[in-house]
Amino acid sequence: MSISIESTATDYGGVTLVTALVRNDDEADRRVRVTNELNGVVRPPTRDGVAVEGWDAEGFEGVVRGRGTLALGYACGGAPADDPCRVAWTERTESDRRGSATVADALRDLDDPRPPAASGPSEVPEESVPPAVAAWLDGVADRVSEGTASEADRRALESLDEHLRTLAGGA
Amino acid sequence: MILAVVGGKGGVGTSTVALELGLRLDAVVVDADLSMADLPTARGPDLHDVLAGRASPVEAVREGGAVSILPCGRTLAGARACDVGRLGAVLESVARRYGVVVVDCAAGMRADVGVPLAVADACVVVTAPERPAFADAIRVRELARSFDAGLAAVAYNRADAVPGAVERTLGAPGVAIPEDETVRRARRSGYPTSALFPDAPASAGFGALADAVRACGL
Repeated sequence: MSISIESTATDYGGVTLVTALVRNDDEADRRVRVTNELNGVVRPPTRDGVAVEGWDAEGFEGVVRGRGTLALGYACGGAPADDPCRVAWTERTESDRRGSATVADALRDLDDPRPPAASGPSEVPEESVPPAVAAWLDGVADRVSEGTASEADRRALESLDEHLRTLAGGA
Repeated sequence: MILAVVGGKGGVGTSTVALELGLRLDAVVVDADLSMADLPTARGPDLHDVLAGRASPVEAVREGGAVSILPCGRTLAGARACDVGRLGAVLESVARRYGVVVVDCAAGMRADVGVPLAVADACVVVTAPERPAFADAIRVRELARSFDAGLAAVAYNRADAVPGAVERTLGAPGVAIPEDETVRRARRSGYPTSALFPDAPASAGFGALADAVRACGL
């Protein structure tokens, strides 16, 4: 047969990762169906939350170019075993028989329209004041409450107040 | 029937054309520009809420105005919380309830343009007599082709006539929408020009555009 497959399964902390290499010794492109033989559902590779084209819960369907190889990998809940996947069938492929693109194609192939998190103000965590500044402010507060605040403390606070107003005006 | 109104480039009048077609085709207009919505909005659930699973598509539709609208939220946080993957099913469910849906698509070539094109029966490309606008119109037309959304008509905005090269390149009949001050005045009020100024030259253009869409027999 012109199509051969080598596959291995490895356990990674309860999840089985399967890798497979499908080889086409023919000159012509061939469409192949690779099915999972392990006892578990296929967790296919995803992009933006959508399964990469060709993948479904049982395996993968796609084209192996003539004299070419196709590398596949997926995760599965079932325990590892020899030959974790197999070629269910192959057929000659027409040059490109893909139909029109779908919603999944749009999500997979086009950019995400949502604004990135860094594009606007977000909630500022309370500990956002740098520790050194917080420590200095605590020191000033202690001195003010003890009545031992110096002229230098007063000038520093005024200068800080001016800085903050300038920053708030520019924001 | 789902009709996607796309422009590729911003500022060519996509939202204006979508609103006018909504009125003429008795459709619900969905503002699908997730991060820069510009159709009129109102209190209550909007498309951000629908795409975040907080509201049903039909309860977010505002009826009672000149045109029924499913508005889009204005906040960045709302836009971030959207699951764009739901947009196709949302448009289909509004179409099942109301019949005709006109989608005001965002500028650019991102998934919020691709998903409406994937579920649309046809599209209208809006462009204007400026070279960058036309280049983007060609790109978005190609995108529509890949999603099998046929081009019903080209809206050639702010012009008195459609050059033959535009129709030939995009492959659909073009309708010129003349430059008209009443369009700006109507947009400021949030109403379609065709409703406020039915005798204005632009209103005649929008009417011809709706006729061209109807002529496709969708």
